[in-house]
Amino acid sequence: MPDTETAPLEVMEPDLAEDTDLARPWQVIVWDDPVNLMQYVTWVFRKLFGFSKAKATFLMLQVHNEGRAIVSTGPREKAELDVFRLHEHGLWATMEQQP
Amino acid sequence: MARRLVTRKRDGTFTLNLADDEQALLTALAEQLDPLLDDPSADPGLRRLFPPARTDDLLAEAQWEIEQGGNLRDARRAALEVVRAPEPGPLSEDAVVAWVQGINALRLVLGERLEVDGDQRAEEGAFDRALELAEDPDRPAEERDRALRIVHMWQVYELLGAMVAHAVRALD
Repeated sequence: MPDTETAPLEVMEPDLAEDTDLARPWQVIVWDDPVNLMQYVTWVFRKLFGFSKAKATFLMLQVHNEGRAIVSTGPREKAELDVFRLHEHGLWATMEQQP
Repeated sequence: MARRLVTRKRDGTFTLNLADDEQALLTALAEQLDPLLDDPSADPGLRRLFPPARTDDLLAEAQWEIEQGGNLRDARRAALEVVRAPEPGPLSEDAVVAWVQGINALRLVLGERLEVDGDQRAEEGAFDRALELAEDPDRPAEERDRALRIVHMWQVYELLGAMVAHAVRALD
């Protein structure tokens, strides 16, 4: 049996940084804006996320007073859907990976 | 406004209680906005209708616009169509949700045009100044017309706000 030279096998090292990056959940942020009515924003939060009146009002006030609030977290696809639905309702929403 | 602009009936359907001139105004506004949706980037007043989703990543934002921009435009058009010509008779909850989305979209654009920035005092001042100008016989007609248009825009902005508030009260 002839000697065969075996090419060094390239091992795919798992890129830990990237893997954890992919696992990091996303968050959806709603930003304060001067036009949308407070009761409208509260209603949109209740309708899209099923929040109680108290929770929706709390988040609306957080947006109003602090300029932004995180309204949902989860996998990327969910964040994209939430952002789209918030935009559809005229709210200013962005998404980003959790720090 | 003593009249309830949107009411929910016992059977879960909704009624819009709009005067003919109010519906005519909404129809005109919806017809004005619809063609502008073809190219939102051409009009800075429309930026609030197509806000960025990814402020942390320019490439991701560009991709978002490609993937979602058309869907958002379609949704806006469908909502404006309900505003332009609501079905006669009782409306479903979905129709009222689309209606309030459309009304709110019109209000957002008007708010941009009026440079609403959340300072209510400044807004009242802007309205008062425009009203004063419009009624000042010493001013040139052109200037008074311009001021009168601004007065009307503020009045429409207020009316749209009342419509949103009444719809939310009926829906919630």
